[in-house]
Amino acid sequence: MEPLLSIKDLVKVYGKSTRALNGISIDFYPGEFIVVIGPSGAGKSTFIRCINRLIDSTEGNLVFDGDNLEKASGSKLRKERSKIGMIFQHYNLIGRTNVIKNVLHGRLHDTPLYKSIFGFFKHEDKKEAVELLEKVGLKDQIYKRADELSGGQMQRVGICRALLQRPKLLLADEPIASLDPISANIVMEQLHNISKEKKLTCIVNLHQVDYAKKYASRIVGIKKGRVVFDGKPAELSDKIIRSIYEGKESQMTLQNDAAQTGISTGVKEGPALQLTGGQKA
Amino acid sequence: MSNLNQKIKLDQEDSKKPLLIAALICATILFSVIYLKISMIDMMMGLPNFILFFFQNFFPPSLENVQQYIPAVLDTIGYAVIATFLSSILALILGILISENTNKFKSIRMICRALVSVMRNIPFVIWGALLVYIFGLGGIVGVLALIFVTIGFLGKSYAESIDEISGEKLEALRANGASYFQILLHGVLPQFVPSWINWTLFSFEINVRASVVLGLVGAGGIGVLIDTNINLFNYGEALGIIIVIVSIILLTEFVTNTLRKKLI
Amino acid sequence: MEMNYIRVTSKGSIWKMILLVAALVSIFVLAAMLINLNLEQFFARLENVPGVLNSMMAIDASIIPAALLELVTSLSLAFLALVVGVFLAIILSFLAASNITPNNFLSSFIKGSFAVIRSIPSLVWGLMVIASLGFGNTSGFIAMLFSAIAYLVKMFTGSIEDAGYDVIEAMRSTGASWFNIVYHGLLPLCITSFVAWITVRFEGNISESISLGIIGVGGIGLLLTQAIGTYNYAQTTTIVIIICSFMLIIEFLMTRIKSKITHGSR
Repeated sequence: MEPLLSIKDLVKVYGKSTRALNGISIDFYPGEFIVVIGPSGAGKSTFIRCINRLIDSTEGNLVFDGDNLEKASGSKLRKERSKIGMIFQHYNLIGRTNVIKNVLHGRLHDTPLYKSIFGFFKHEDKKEAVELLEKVGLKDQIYKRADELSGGQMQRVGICRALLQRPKLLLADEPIASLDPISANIVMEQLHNISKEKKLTCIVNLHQVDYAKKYASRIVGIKKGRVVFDGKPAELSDKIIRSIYEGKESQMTLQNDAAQTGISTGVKEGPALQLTGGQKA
Repeated sequence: MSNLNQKIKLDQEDSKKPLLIAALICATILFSVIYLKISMIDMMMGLPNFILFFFQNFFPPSLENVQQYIPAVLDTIGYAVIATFLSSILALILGILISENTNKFKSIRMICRALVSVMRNIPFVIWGALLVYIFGLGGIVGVLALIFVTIGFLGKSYAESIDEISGEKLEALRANGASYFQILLHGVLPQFVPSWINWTLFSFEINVRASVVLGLVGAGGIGVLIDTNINLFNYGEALGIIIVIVSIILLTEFVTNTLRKKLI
Repeated sequence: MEMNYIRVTSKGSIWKMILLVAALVSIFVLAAMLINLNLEQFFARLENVPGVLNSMMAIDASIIPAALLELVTSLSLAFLALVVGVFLAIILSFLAASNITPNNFLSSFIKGSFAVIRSIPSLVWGLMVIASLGFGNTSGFIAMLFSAIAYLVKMFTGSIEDAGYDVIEAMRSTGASWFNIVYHGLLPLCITSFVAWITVRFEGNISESISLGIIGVGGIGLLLTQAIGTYNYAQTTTIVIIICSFMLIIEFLMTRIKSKITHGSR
């Protein structure tokens, strides 16, 4: 099968000598749900931002969907970016704008400026936005200001915004790191189900190993800017996990505990974990 | 144990620095007094003398001719309104050009920053005097001088507020494939609105005050009436006008504060 | 709902928006009609502007020494008024701040009267003082004192009131007197923000002391008025450049001090 995204020798150097990425070569195939794990500072965030060029890599090749990404600029780059959805740790919604407009920001790339100013989006776009919001259980909140929502709700709006781009690839940078365990469960569950339903390829940065094992179809371990593990969740042994988090074990265990309590509380909420999610999250 | 009998310091560091600063301030005061050739007696008696004179001559205020001042009052407020409107728009453009968040060209940033700096740092009365010099007396000069000063003030404040909008939020719009102007209109402006309202209302307060003063240099408005009346020794009349001015300014502050609470 | 029109903005906020824009536009139009600017005359004069600007493109170096001396005068005036102003304002603020005031009536009286004093621009104070004490540095000093105190009292009281009741309560429980609470409790707590306000006011004082020259108090402002009065273009330009660069330096210094005291070192 042709890879959807093919990365060769990706290097990112900050300043003079801080090597955040140290030569990463990896292929991602359509339909995969990839979770990237590693301690903080390993370069996960830089890696994911290099893919849609929010950060420009120092060296390396990126081929996405048959196009060379690293050479694109201006409107060509914007077009390529629109095919890649992204979800952020801090949701990055425009707080003073209402929910549906935030979701519609996902369509800015093919809406001319004079139309978007006055909110003249295509009917089908608006319809899809409402449907997506309905799916994540936020239909009643569409005219609320984004900064009036809870963290879990904001992240679900963030997911809708990314999905409205009708992307081929979905990137998520620590989507649940700022959420409480219950909301984190809902958000991960929805992210997983929707991407499965739409046959989307997902690359998710997580530092919680438990979540990675639960949802991923493939796990990639990054340490000091290098890929140190690449395989099925079942192949990820405790020994490997320990070597990935070597020197930062405290991070791993602490977050493991948090994730565990999260999952156990999540199980209690059983039915709420369906697609619609919990309203109060 | 023997330590207990020694003097126990209350501060760990030795306290020479405050002493040095105090000595420096005293020296500067001394220098200023000598340089200005102000006699200490004049300085001490100046305030009581003035207050005495004020109550003897300016009191009681004469408010008989209040109606005659109304056109001048309206002019004064009108100048401030027009200047605030125009400069809030111009300053927004400059603010966008100055902020690192919205303008990545360093050279343009520096040029705009310098321009705003010059506008802000020349006192507005000096602007007024200069513009009267160039354009001659009249209301337009007043409006122009107010605009110059307000742009200087607002340009800097706006730019700082735009800088404070987190780059993270704009990153999301970039990742969506939005163009520069879309990021500006859908990301920067909505987040900027509260500070925009706040700063602009503040600048309106300043403009009303400045507009009063600009009359003194011949730029129209109520200020010139004070000067004329004092020169004619109509102190009561002058105090009447000052009372009118005080009411305008207090009223302005009240209105802007109410608007601020309502709008934000 | 399938083919129905989907609103992006709720109905209420659209109306609010329209109302706001309409209000703003009508205020602007009203104000423009009110002041009745003579645009024809303005554009007629615009033709002279290039000529004036052209003659202003000159520098008269011979005025520089005198200008610098007068600049020191302006600076000294600003400094003196600041020092005396700070001293008086600190006393008045502790009497006026609602959490420590010895007497509520006194507090309202001080706050009220300084609100009035503050709303009189310093140049107007200048006119009144000159009328009673005559031209000269003493008049400038007194005029600036009014606006400096009024400004500082407002800012200082705000800072003191921000400190709240906690410290006061704790100290009162140890049996401390009013003066003790102020001197050992509130003053150390507020001193950082006081210094920040003082730097802001110093900038304001300098700008005012330069401006006061326009109405006849000494300093570089007076020199500028004379240059303008005698249509001496080169001198005018030189003095304006000196004023501007001096203000830039002061602004830079005050920003440095402010960031130093707010970001630690203490």
